Amino acid sequence: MKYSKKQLGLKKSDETLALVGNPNVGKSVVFSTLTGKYRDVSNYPGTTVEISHGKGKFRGKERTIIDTPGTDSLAPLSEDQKVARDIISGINPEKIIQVADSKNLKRAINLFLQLKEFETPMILDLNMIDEAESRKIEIETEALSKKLGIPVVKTAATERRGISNLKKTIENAKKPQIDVEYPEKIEKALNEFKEIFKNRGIGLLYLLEPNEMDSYIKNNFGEEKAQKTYEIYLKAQENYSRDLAYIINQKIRKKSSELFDQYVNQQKLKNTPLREKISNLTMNPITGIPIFLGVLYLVYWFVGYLGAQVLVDFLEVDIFGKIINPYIRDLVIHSIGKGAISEILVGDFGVFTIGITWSIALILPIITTFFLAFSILEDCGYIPRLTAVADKLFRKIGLNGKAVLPMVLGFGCDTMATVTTRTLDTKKERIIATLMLALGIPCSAQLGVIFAIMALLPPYFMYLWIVLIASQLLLVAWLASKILPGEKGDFIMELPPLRIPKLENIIKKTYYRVKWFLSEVVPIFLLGTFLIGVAEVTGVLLKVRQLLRPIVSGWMGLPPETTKIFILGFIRRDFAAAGILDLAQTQLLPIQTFIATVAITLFVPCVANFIIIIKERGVKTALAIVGFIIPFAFFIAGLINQISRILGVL
Amino acid sequence: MYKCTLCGHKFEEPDEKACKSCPLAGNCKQIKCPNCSYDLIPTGDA
Ligand SMILES: Nc1nc2c(ncn2[C@@H]2O[C@H](COP(=O)(O)OP(=O)(O)O)[C@@H](O)[C@H]2O)c(=O)[nH]1
Ligand SMILES: [Zn+2]
Repeated sequence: MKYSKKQLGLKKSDETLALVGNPNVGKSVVFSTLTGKYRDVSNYPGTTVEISHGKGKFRGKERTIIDTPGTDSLAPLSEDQKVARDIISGINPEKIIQVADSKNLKRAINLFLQLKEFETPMILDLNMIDEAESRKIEIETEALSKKLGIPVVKTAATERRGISNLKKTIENAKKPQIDVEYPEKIEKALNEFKEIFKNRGIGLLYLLEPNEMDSYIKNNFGEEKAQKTYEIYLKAQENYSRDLAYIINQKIRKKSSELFDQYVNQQKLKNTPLREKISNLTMNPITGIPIFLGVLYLVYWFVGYLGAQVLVDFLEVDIFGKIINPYIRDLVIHSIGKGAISEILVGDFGVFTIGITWSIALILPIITTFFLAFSILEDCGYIPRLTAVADKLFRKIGLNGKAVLPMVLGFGCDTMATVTTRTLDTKKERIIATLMLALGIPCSAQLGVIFAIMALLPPYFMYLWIVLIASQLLLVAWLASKILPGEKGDFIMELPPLRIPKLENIIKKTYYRVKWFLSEVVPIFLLGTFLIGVAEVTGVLLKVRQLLRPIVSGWMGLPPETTKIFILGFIRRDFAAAGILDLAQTQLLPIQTFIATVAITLFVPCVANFIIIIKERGVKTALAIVGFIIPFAFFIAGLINQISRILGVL
Repeated sequence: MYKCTLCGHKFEEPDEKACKSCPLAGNCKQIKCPNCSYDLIPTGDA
């Protein structure tokens, strides 16, 4: 009797996914990460072999996953091997995931080369990658994947690393496309088998184990096909003095050795080339931190001096301050006279005086130099190494690395990073992660402007600010390690090579980021300044200012004008930072500049972030998060003011 | 085929679901890596 889906209680239309692999590769662990707790276990008819199957959902589609007994070959010698064969040829699963032990890839490829003849779409899962990594075994997955014609993913199932990627990849399973290059007569036989069984797999097993397969074919396909198969086999065997099984196994082993040598490197630690040495230095915590501080200093210098002082001076003071703004102001006042509208347009807080001038003359040069620096670091491969060293460092001090990835993403854009928190499992985790991003991670645009502010202050403020940010990040990491689940982050990094950045890439990346800033961020800012302008002429702003006076002036020790800055902070933190930069040049004392910067560093990122929090977490949570962050930001900033008063710094 | 600048993952289909919920207008030219969620700007060699 042919084994089929029916025996497992499945319908013919149920899509099935078979897990296949050598013994002890972690297949059962992979199985449970894919299916969760629920599974059916049944004995394979007439044997003591147990088969588990369960359901899993991938990209919204439900699949039945069948675990097969671990086996090194599908040639039906043992009971386990027979069952594995029956599942693959009888149930004929829609897809096969082959689970492999990454430390022992040759054995896996041997099995793969048998499996691939069934022409079922496959994925190769290199499991136990953690152990391979610690033994410095490197597998070139991409090249291997190309060669085999199927997706190859890495997992460490016991730590759940790579599992979500595996799940995502299931849809992309492909029919293997690799040739073992059997001798001509064997190839011919296999192709003839294909006409009988629709694939070469059963024929291959027949050549490997004719006696056992003969009765299998009689039972499942009938006498006639069994006879034909036998004839094909005899004709092929005639050409060789040795058993076909021997020849085939030799070919398979040769091929897998070849593949192994080509795509698996056991790293030798001696004589690494210069790049490798530099790469290792950036990732070793002892050398990596000084390197990071050095890089940070270079960026700070580049943005703070070139961007903020040279370019901003020129644009803001010379071009906008002396030429454009006076001209526009005259133009507006001449054509519509003094009054509310011209106040909104060109008044102290006008759309033009503030909105356009700050966007173009202040923030644009800073952001451009910052994005330029960032693109260089990104293109030369430093950012992933920084991520890696941060990860190591966090672990060294007893925190796990889970916060590292969100931090890196948050530095790019808190809003986009917030979107990705939806992948977390529980509501509590999602809320904490959202809060951490909003409170703890300054985004790149804001960071650029803050660098510019720091360049105006005596250097020790920069160190203070770094200490503040560092403790803030540690707090975030600590919270994350307490609250977020999992052993390690569920993703696997393959470090891109460290290289000299390409000019073309840098220009392209910087260009798109600046363009994005101009087309998406500036309009929001203009709208914001317009609303604030309206608030000013209607007297609402004055009320707010009076209301906030005890906090802004009393607690934080800042001049009342800075209230505007915090209102701008609701629109975007980087604009508020630009406001501080503007005031710092004329009105604020260094310590006041610093206090305002601290408050803004901790502030809610931007309206876009607020909107996304509402969308993802609901209005209540969004309000609660903002309701916590703003008082907290003011509290910390004020605390610095009070302490500096006591110490007599002011 | 894209290659993620952060995690090195190679992929054909960026994670577009996340981008749909972004409140900005969506002309950022960035694509999201389905493995690590990093937003990258595709270049000739990535
Ligand atoms: N280090 C490490 N151990 C693993 C991994 N996956 C499974 N294991 C361990 O390997 C052993 C065999 O796993 P199991 O799932 O029973 O293997 P199976 O025979 O293929 O089903 C168990 O002790 C697992 O805990 C992995 O990714 N990394
Ligand atoms: Zn990535």
